[in-house]
Amino acid sequence: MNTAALTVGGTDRVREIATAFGLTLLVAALCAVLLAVTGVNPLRAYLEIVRGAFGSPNAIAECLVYATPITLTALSVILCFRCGLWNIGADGQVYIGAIAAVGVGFNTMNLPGALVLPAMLVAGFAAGAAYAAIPAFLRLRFGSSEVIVTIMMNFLAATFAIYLIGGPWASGITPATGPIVSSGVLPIIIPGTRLSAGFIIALLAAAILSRVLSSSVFGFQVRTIGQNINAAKYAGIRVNRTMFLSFAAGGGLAGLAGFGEIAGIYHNLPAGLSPGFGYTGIVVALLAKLNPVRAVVVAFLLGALNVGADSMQRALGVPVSIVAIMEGLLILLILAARLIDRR
Amino acid sequence: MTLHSFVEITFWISLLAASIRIATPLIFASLGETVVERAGLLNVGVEGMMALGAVSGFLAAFYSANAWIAFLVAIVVGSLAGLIFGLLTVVRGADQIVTGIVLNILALGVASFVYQNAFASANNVPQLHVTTAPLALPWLSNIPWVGRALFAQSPLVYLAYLLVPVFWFLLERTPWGLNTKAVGEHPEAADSLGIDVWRVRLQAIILGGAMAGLGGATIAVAQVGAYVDGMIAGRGFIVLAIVVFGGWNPWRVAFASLFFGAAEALQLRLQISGMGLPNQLLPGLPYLLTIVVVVFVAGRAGYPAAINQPYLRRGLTIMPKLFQKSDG
Repeated sequence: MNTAALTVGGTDRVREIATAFGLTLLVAALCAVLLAVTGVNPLRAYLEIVRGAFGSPNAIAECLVYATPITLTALSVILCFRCGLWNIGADGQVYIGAIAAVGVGFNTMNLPGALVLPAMLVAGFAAGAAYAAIPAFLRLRFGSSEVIVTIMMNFLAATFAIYLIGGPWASGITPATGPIVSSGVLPIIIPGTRLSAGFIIALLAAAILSRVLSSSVFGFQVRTIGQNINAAKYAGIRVNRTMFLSFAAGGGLAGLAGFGEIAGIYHNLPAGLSPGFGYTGIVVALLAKLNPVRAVVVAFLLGALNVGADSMQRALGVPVSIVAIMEGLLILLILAARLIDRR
Repeated sequence: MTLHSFVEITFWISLLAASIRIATPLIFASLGETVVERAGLLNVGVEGMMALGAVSGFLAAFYSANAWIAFLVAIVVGSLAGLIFGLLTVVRGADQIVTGIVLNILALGVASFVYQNAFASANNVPQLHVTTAPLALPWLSNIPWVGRALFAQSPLVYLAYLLVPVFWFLLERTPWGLNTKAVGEHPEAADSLGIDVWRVRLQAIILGGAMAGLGGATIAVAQVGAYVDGMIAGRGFIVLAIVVFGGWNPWRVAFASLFFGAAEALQLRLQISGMGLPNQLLPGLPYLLTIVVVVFVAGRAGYPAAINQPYLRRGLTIMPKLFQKSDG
């Protein structure tokens, strides 16, 4: 696949933005019809989304809380897509990163307090990277479809988490493991909210990835492979090595999302840790046209949409699955309008 | 169940019966996907189409109290989902993998939304009372040992038995099948022979969507008797592995489905047995098996040559100005 066409660029930026804006309005209109059919006043529903997402400082902080993991999974997807590999496995990598972070966070090894958090971070990244290295290896060595393998590994990771929560790491009280030690907890950056330093980590990761892709040798190699893998081979780029490293690093970024949820939000491993962060990450990556900086903005907007939809569900009883419908419709319309194109 | 039961014939017969039952929706969806892939399309959206079939079939069965109407509705809904996939990938030339993934997100959202709107108080899952009762075929079900396992099943199982040769015949012995394969191997050559590539591919994907819808409805209506979010649980992706495992041949695809059905049936029996393995890990077995199959059985070489490549017809490659993508 030529991923060049998925990325940001082009001369007709104005027309592109206008079309994207028009399509967003179209999706809003289509979903308004859907809401009206189900007996809900669409204006009230949309106002409730906006109020739920931006109505108070705490609500805005919640949007950022939601944006944190999906920024990281989007970055993961972006890095892999950029060199022509499909990482549908970010969800599983989030779980494995979270499991590793919790495992270290119990601190059965009695690390000094100051080392617990860094050790959890490294463990989360390394576990996500190792988990992603498996499908990358299988793809590059045997040609096994990374799409199928990563999706199966999502189910395996979730199954493994359920096993840990119900078995070896069971707390016996809630459907979650026992808590991590207090030195493994990320500091809250806005007092009175749930927004932790995990958000800063996501921003830093986006900045670093943007820099790496745009102006490093590795980033150049990744982009070249994505644009034309044969040209990359002729240019002497070690294609397999670069693809493997990007996929593993992508897995590491998703693993960081798992670490952030553990150290920043839950402080244990709960059942159903990820409500599809990996899949939302794909949506973010596509809407951001595989640009890491844009991904932060899109992740915030989708975070707001999700937080707002939660509030809408509580107020009006509209199922939150309307969010998935909006996301799916928007991208399908973008595909139909050829804003994302393979040529 | 103890280790002892493995040597008893009744264990194996009940395992065979369960394998066939569990394989039936996989056979439907993978037969459809076989045709889709032979036509050069890769539909990663099978999962979502099965979910749509499950929810629409369930609702139709719930309100009509007739299982056959339910399957019909699911087939129609699945075809529509297939048509959407086809319009995007065939006519608009959109990337098939992106389209499939996004279609899954949309379809799972729609399925969940529709269901929750129909049953606002989702606390007690409504159960169907119209299921397809097993039907013991005369004579055949009296065959010693395997008779009841093979021929005292739901009518849907017999439909699956019937569709395997039908799909084989369609693909291997009709002009339609020849066209489908030609379009999947070499669309330019097919086009030059006067085959309408888009038309053939659209037919294939609509058929694939219909079969996925039927598969989803089989799970919800005939097997579970309820709809639950996430009930397809990756079977749509396992189907993709089955099609490769079965070498794009309806007979072998059916046996590959049976193999996965057997794995699931065995997994369920092991859970009940409590034979050492942790119960919460056993549901992972079919997923692990899928990876093993994808790695060791599936060479990339076997795929139809033009898989996952859009074919932009001459004369139609020039799109209206508005949609032209400036080079990035």
